[in-house]
Amino acid sequence: MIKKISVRQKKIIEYVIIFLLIPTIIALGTLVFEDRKYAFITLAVTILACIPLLLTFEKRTDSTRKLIIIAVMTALSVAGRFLFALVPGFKPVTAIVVLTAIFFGGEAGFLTGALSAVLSNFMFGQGPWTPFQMLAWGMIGLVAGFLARPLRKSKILLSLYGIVAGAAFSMIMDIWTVVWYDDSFQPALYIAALLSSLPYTIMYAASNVVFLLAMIGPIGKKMERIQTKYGI
Amino acid sequence: MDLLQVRDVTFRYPTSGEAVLNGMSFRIKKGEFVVLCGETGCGKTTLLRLIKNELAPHGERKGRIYFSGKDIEESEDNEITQNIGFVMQRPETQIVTDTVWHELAFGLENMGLSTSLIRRRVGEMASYFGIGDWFDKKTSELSGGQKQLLNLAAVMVMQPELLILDEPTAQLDPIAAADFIATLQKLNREFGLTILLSEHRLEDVFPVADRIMVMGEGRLLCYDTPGNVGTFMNQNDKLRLSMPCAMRVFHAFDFTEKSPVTVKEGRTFIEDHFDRKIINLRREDRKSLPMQTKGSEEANKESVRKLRSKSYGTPALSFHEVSFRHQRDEDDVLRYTSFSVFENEIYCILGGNASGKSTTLRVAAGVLHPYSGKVNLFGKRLSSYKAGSLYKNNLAMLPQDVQTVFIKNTVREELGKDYKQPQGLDFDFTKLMDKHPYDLSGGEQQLCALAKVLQQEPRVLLLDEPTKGIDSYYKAKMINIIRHLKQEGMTILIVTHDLEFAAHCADRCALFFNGEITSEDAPWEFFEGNNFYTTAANRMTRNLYEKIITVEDAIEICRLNQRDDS
Amino acid sequence: MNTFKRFHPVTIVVYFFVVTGFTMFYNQPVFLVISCIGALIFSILLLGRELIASIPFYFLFFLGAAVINPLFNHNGTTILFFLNGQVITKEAVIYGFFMAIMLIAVLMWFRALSILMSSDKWLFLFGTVTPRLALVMSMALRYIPLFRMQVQKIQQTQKAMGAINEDSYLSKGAGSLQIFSVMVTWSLENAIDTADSMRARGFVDHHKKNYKRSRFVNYKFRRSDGLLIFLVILLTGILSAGILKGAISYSYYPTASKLLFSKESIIPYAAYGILVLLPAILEIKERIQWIYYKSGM
Repeated sequence: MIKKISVRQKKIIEYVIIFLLIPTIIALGTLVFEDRKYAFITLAVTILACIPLLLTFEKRTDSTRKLIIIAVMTALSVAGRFLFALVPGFKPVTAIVVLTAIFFGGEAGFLTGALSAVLSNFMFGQGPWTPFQMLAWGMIGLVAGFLARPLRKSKILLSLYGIVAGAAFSMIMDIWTVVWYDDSFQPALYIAALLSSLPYTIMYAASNVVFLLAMIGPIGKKMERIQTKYGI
Repeated sequence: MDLLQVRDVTFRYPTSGEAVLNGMSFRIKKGEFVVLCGETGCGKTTLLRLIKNELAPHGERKGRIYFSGKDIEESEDNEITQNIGFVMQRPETQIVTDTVWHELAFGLENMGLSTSLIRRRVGEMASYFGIGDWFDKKTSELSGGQKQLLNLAAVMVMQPELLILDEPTAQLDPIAAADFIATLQKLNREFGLTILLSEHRLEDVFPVADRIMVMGEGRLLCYDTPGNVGTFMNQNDKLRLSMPCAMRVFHAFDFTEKSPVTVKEGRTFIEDHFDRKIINLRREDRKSLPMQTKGSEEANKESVRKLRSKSYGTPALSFHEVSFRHQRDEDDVLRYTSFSVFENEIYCILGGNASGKSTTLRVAAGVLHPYSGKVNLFGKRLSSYKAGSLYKNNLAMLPQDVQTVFIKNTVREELGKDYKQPQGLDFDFTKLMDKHPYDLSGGEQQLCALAKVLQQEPRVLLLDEPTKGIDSYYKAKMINIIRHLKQEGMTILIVTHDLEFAAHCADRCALFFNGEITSEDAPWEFFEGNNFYTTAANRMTRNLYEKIITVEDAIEICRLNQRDDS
Repeated sequence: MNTFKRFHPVTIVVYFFVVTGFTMFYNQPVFLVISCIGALIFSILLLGRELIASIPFYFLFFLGAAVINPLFNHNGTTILFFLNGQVITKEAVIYGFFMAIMLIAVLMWFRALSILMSSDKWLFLFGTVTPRLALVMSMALRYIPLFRMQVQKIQQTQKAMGAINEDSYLSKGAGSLQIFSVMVTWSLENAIDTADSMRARGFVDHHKKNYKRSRFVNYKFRRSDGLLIFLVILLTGILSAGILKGAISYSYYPTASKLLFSKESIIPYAAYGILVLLPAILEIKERIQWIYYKSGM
């Protein structure tokens, strides 16, 4: 019973944020920053969208193990960026996020994604793009969590998800680039941005597929091994 | 007063039928320093973890453990958590957070203390442990010894009454290990802290312990003062090897008095009971290479060449003024390093931590590339070998961290399906074949990794700290294997800070300091020439006898000098 | 550049959010130029010679950003010329120029921020909102260098075993993939030790009753922090008032308006100028003080 109430409270907080806080901030932003209202709104909404998801973690009764697994997976995805630094676009971040989501749930996936963005930017440079990366990688994990069962069963679906996730990441980041640049959403500029990053996107999507296919088997075994060895 | 009381504890892991612990019962008084020893796999770790309830392994357990009179299983409060501190073997993996100050505060945060109280306790502890200088550092920037000291301090801030340590010095070099033990001794002496420590390198811990607990096959075999457990340990082949040098010499003879424990006591014992008729084991017939000193190099050259051609043959691996650094703007790690390892020779490079020994080995293995100088393998430039031919039938390296060798899921996959054990490798892998390499004990991992590396059928074998973290039984095995490999014609270059090990198996020893080889010689000359950086047996017999470097040497010379009346 | 580093993380972040906020979202040309000059001076003080190495990058970035707008944006009334049948307007060129200044300024501010705000300070800020997440981040930050070191060790070992070769791009990639897979096992395995170490030091899952974790704060909010924040709020208030009064309003489209330099407009410009130069002023003040102390001894 107690748990149900707290879940409900959490929901209420989320609704308050989604239906009250976001519109208020958008309205205020449009008033003060007349010229740049869209840039401001996209940034504000992105940050606010991350908050409820990050806060739920605080209230959760998660085990120490899950805590550590998120830390390990995040560190792996960041350290992996260095391992494959020579090949542009070849990054294990998305694959790690998806795998975390598949084996430990969407929330763990979201957190791994969002934290990977923050932590890797400690090394590669923070900026206004950080919240967008957080949201993009986080959502990739969250959605993978919902699709955990089919993704675990079918390698075709998994590969497909890798491609879609790679494309989605580029598309989300390019929206930000375009809106931030001249505070409007010009389709021509957006398409140009997408095209210019196409080789990178293709590489990225391909690397997702490679990583996912290479790691889904071994990682499953490893999880099993850890669980039997330590009886958790 | 008993602080800890273990009553008839039996423990079984869910997967295996045999009991790991079998009716263990003992008491530890407040303020005692107890050392737990026993061969690998005798249940030491399981016992220690059962006492620290939070880390108790899953399985079937009988018997009770009382801490300050309370059953540790029944009390739910945090009190016992704080009162029993636990430090594990590997310095790296125990650290939780990224900064030193946060690591120190972590336990206190868990206790729910206020910031001002945490600041006070952390400040006090950092000052006591001398951590002040690196308080603001990242934990990843610390050396192994500093990391382990941090782990200890992070436990000590919680002000435990009982401190449990599970082989805390196994991964440290001897200097850092001795410092660590000295810190423990200080905590015990100055604060009456009760300590239960498991260890297999006993030379340093026996002198500071009040009582020794010897375990075997899940049972308590012996529980007495350090001087008295010797009689018992001496009967067991595996345990005998791990005893301190003075005790081993003492127990090689039949004396009825109290056994010496420290080097100092050992010296007095030898002075009191043995003559000095024969002071030398007469090894002069075995030729040694004159020390390379810079000034007299020219004068020595001719004699060196003669000696080399006579007793050492041709060089298998040689460094000619090799310099190396990791980054362009960093200092040199190797500075015009020159040395030669001759064919069919065992060459040991000794030296402190971070002196560049390990780097030397990796340069020799061709995985790091020097920016100037030449490295030759069988007279040919190392860089002119193709990777395929270099690492097949020519050169192989056993790294310091043997876990980096394993990339498969079972030992069988690692070694290959139709694995044929080389002759010298006297070890039975059949029981381990289906295990994951990470599940093997330290010694087993070492041998398994060596077996895998030997599949490259090298002519030159490079070993990086091959005795790190393994007990004296596996150490003896390692020595035998290395000797055997030499007999089969292999050339072996070893980098180690284990002086006893080098004394046992080296043909020549070299001291590496500040980026270069500062001295090299046959082991007995080498250790005799050093005053401080030398083996316990050598320290114990210095000025009494000459060129005694191993415990076996010491026993032999004592035997030759036995008095008729004794 | 130690003066600004010594401030409380909250102070630093408040300052940066105000300055970069105005830079990003308020596009008045004079403001952008002031911000860019401020960022440049700050960067010189912070980076010194290191800045020179990144000048080519900033220059190219500036050029690219300035050119894109007129190519894609055809608003504005003053036609300059036609390019491939597309109209290029004077307004779009001006707008592109100032947007490029904005982007450069923001890049420089964030670079400065990265130097001043170490990961510790960020974790402290995250921790005030969500301590558990901050702990996870701290753990991950502790793992990253450990993993990178281990990767390097595995690479070297496997190379010396002839297991991976670096002869071709493809085999190198395949080798890296295998190493990464081994790293997953290794890190999960070692994480168990960390979990033990946490539990041994009394870390408990949330659901245990009567359990409350505290948080050690290694930063103190001093009087100087209060003063600086007060100053920032005061200056922000002054220049916001100026903006709302319309004293310095400016629009790029449809026709680029003329810049107003009236008595009224001087106040918000000056306020913004002081705001942007605050770190530099503090730094220079301290440097002068030191010279004075040394000579006085």
